[in-house]
Amino acid sequence: MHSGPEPAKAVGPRRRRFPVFALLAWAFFVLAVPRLVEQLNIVDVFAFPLGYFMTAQGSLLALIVVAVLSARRHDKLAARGDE
Amino acid sequence: MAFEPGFFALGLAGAAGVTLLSRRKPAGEAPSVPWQGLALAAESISAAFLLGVTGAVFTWGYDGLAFVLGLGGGYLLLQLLVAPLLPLAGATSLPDYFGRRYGPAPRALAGLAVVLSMTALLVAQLMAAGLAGARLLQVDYGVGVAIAAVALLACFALRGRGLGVWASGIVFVAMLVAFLWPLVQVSTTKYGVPVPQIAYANTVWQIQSLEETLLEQDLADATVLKPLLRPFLSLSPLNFAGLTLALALGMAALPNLLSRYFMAPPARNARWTAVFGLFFATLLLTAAPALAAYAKLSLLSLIGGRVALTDLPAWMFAWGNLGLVEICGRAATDAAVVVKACSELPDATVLRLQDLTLAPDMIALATPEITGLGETWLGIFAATALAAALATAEGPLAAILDALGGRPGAPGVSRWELMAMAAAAIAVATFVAAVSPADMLTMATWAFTLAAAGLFPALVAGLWWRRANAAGAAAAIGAGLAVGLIYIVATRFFAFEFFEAFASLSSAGPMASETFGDLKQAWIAAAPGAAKDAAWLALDAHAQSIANLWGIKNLAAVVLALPAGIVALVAVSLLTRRQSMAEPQPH
Repeated sequence: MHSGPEPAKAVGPRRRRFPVFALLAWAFFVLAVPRLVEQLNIVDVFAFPLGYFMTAQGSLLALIVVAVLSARRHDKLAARGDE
Repeated sequence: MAFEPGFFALGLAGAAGVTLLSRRKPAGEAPSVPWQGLALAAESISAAFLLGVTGAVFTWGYDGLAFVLGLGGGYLLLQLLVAPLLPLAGATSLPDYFGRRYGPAPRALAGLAVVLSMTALLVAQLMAAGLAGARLLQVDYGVGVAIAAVALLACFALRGRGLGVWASGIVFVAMLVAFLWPLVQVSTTKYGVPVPQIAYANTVWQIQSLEETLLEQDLADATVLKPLLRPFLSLSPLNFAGLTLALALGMAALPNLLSRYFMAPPARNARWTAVFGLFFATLLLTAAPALAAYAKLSLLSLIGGRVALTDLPAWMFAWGNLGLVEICGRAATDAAVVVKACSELPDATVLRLQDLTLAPDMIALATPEITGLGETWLGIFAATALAAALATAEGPLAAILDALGGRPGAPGVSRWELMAMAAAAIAVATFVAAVSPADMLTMATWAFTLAAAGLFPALVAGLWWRRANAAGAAAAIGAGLAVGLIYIVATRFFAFEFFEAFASLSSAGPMASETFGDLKQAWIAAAPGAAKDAAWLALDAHAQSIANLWGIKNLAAVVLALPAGIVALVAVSLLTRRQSMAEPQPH
């Protein structure tokens, strides 16, 4: 057997808040934004049509922001002993 | 170019070098979290996607960006859903986690899903390595794949298991330099901006203008030309979302990544590894559309210049000899063949877009030649792709062996037995890669689809939902895997039979159905022999384009498979006995 916490704690799900808001942000940038490409293309950003820009790179940049914010928040929660 | 074999040797040496580094390095201190992010990015994007995504954007325009978004989105899912809890489970691999959390039956089913998805990924990597090798050595594609397989087995023998984290990080740095440096050069030369992700905005508008010009001058056919900026021409919005989901969810459950980066505590490291992975992957993924745009602009400019069929660039014949460039329906092996083939078509005196077919797999590798960067960059790029393909193939290979009980150091498994298992797995993958039942990008996407459909629901439920039990997990893996696999295989390899059985549920319009009927009659009426074979090929190709349920494409099979897995998981878990978390799980 592995050396670590007792099996029940090691294997089962934790009491931890499901990351609903971060997942909603993920769904928005990954699923919703590409669907709105034609509407977004009316506007230009960095000389790109906005819809194309978002799918090609803007949404990924937004995901990085979500990822960093989420990771920092969980670091703080961990430091407080909440997880 | 006389020194192409030298670049081939360089690619092999690169793969051997990082493998040897893996043998020596990991005993000391563990790599830092950012370096783990680099390694994660290398293994998740891998050579197949590095080459394939560019080809997809080049061929499909906007719709090809689904690959960029899906792969990038996978890292955030890893961070949010998997990284916080999986490292705390004490498992050593994904099947081991399923064994601990659920029991032996889900573990066995998960092992099957791992073997299937990782074999598909191994095939894709061998295809990438074979393609790079074939181009550099100017040999047949099958020979390139065979050489790559031998090199992979040799690397495995050197190391005895998958590549180390240190080495994977180096592979990513090499991929980044080989991919970005020529792009920076082109961007600076053309537009004075050294950031390709920004500079290629100019190219996008130039392409749009050229597309209109080609249509006006009858150098392109509106049915063939897919304007770069126009969305949903190749993929409907549902298929776009399905493909994106398949890649993102597949990455969040990809066995070779989870076993390597998300099993060991602390969870904080796993979390930040995913963040850095997303950051580094974004550098590459956002550059792929730029590379595709530069290649497309060069090609459209060539066609717009009304190039004579006797004056085609050499790269067309180099790739034509590998069967990856067709002009007027024939492989472009030399100018005489092209002129003869086009003489049989009306008005084909100069190169037209509708007469030219470029296999998406070759686009990224051919871009240095298409854009006129020079042969040295072709050599460097192909050598890096070869080394990266061989190096990143070691991850799926190790995951397959692990699922089959071949973990290095496991009791009762000798080194020779491990080598025999690796040789068998590589032999199967080599055969499939040589037969090439689908293009490289499709094969890699299938790997992610099987992971998303078979493993993702039970993995995430196991981490987050206490009520999920062994019966539910087994049902989820079985249903998701079965639906995904059957849909992929049936719509691709039994398209004729599939359409005949489910014609009423297909999105095919009356015209397409009528064409199917005509092609079927032509096939039945054709005399046995070459005519019958040709009629079947035409019928099968058309059937593949319309064999679907409600318009869901093969690449978006996850749209059907994922709900099947989730419904099975929830329904069976709720209908069967609650599983006590304190209950020790055999494994």
